[in-house]
Amino acid sequence: MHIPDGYLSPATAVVAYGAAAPFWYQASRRVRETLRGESAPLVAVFAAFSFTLQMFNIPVPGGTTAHAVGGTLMAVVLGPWAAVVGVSTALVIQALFFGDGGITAIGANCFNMAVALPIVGYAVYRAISGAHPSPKRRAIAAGVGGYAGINVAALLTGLELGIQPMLWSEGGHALYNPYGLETTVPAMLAVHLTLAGFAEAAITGLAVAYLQRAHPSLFSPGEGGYAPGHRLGRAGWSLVAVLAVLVVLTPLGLLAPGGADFEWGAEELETMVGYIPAGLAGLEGVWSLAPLRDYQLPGLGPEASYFQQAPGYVLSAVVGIGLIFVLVLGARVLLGGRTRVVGVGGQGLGDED
Amino acid sequence: MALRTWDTQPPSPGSYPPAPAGPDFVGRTVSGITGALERAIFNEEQARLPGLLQRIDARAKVMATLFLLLGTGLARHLLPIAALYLVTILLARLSLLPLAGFVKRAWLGIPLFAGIVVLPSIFMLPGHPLLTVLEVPPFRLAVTDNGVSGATLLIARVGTSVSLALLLVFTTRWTELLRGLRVLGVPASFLAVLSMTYRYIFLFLRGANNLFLARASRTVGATTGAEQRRWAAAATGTLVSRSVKLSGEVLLAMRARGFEGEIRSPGAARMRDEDWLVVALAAVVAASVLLLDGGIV
Repeated sequence: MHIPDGYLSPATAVVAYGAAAPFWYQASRRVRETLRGESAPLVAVFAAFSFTLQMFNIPVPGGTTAHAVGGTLMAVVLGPWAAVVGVSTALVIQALFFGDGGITAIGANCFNMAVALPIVGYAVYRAISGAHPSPKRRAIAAGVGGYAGINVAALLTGLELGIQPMLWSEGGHALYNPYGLETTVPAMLAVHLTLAGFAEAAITGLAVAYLQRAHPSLFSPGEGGYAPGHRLGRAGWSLVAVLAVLVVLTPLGLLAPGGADFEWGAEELETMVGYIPAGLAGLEGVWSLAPLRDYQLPGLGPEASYFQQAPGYVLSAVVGIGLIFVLVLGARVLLGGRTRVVGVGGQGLGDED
Repeated sequence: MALRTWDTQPPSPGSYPPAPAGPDFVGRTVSGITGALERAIFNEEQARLPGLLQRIDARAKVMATLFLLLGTGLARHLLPIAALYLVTILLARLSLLPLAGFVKRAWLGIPLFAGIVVLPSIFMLPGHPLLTVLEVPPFRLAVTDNGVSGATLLIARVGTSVSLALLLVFTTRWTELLRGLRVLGVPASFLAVLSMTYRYIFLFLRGANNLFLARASRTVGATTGAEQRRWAAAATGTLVSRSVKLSGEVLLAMRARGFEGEIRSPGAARMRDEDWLVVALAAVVAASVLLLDGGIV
C-alpha cells in the first residue's frame, strides 16, 4: 500500500502532509502527556516493532502470503495516538533510510497507514469490545478493528491515486497515476477486503489473544498497561469527523462539472460564478504594476491566465537568483575560501549503546 | 542396548505430509529481512566512499533532493524528466557509486512494478490508435498514443524519483541524514525517536529472523494455514511483549545516564560554501528543467 514517488502530483503530496499534520501534532501532544518523559523509548521501540512486523509474510487462504501493518494492534496495546507516532516513524525510516515508499509521498502514506488505519481500527475495536470485554470478545474486536482499519487505509490510497487523472491530465494523457477512481478504488479494495484484510485481521486478533494469555497486565489499567493513552479524546474525534467529511466530499467535488480545472483566470471565474472575487481582482492589479509583466513561460500565449503565467515568473526568478549564488559560491570554492568544519558532534540520546 | 527403531530407520514415505515446493512464509520472511539488513549495510558502505556527494553536508543534500524531486514531480513532458535522470546518473558517477548496481536497484523494484501496473492503461486510454492488437467489431483493442505517452511519463517519473531518493540514501550516512532532517523543521524529539528506532530496527530484525529460523529448523513436512497464522501471531505477540520489556529497560538506561525527560541535541555545524553551491545548483537545474518543460508544447 506504500505509494512511491511519482504517482501523486506534488500538490496532492502537499495536501496529504497538511492532512496528516494536525494528527501528528495531536498525537505527539497526547503521547507526551500520557507517558511524560517515558514516551521516547517506548515509541521508538514500538516503531521498530512496526517496521519489523511489516516484513512478516502472513499466510492467507489460497497458499499465498500478505503483509500486515499492525497499526490496530499497536493502538489496542498502546492507545491510538502512540500508534500514530509509531507507525509514522516506521514509514519515515522506510522511505528515507531504505528507499521503500516515496519521500514526497510520506505525507500520504502516513495519512493512510499511520493515521487513518490505527484510529479507525481502534474506534471499531472500542465499539465492539465495550467497556469490560471478555478475552474472546476483545480478540475478535481487535481482529475486526484491524480489518476495518486496513480497508479504510486502502480506500484512501485508492481515492488519492484515483483523483490524479481527473486533476492532472494534459492533452488526453494522465501526468501521474493514469487510472481513475473507477479503477483504483475497486483494485485497492479487492486486495484488501480479501487477502491483506484477512492477514491484518488474523495477526491483530490472534496476537491480542496471545498477549492476553501471556501478558494480561498489558490490558489491565494501573498494572503496567498503558490505559491512560487509550482515548481518542474530544479533539481526536473532531479531527476524525472533519476528515471523514472531507474524504467523502473530495470525490464528489471532483465529479462536479468543471471542478477539476483549477487554472481559472479572473474572466473565467466571472463567467462561472458571476463575479470576480475581490482578492483575485486586487492580485491581478498588483501584478499589472510589476516590471516582469511581460515575462512568460515559453509556449503560453498572451491569452494564458494569471495562474498559468505565474509559475513562469517564479521559475525565471529562481534560475536568475540561483545562478548568481552558483557563480559567487563557485568562485569562493575555487579560490579556496572554504570554511572547513571539524569535530561535528554526535547524535544526542540515540547514539548511546 | 538396542536402539529404538525410529532412531535408526528413516521415516517411511508418506508418514509426513510433504513440504510444499518453493519458499513458504518462513522462507520469504527470512529472505526479506536478510535483504533489508544487507541493503542497510550496503548503503552505509557506499556512504563512506570518497565521492562527490559523500563530502556534502546532509542538510544540503536533503534540500537539493527535494528541489530535484519537485522538478521531477512537476514536469509534464518526458524530455525534462530524462534530463533530470541524466543529472542523477552523472551525480552517481561522480559519487563513485557502482553504476550498474545503482541503475538496477532503482529500476528493478518500483518502476518495474509501475510498468506492469500501467501496461493495461496503454490500451485503455482513449486516443489515436497506434497499433491494433485485436479487432472484433465493434470492439477494438489498440495501443493508443495517449496511453503510451501517459505510461512512459509515469514510468520515467517514478524511476527518476526513486533514483534521486536512492542517491540521497547511498551517499549519506544515516546519522548525518537524521541531522539533515532538522533543516525541514523536524523537531529534535522526533529525530531522537527516529534515531533510536533505527537502532532498534536491527535488533528487532535479527530477533525476528531468529524466530523464523528457529521455526523453520523445527518444522518437518507441511503445516496448515491456520497453524501457520497462529504461529505468526504468536511471533508477533512475542515481539510486542519484548518491545514493552525493552522500552522499560531503555528508559532505565537513559535515566541512569542522566536523562530527565527532556531531549536535547547538539547544535548543527554551519553549512560550507560547497554545500550551499549544491543547493543553488539543484534549484537552478530544477527550475531550468521546468522552464524547458513549459516551452515544450
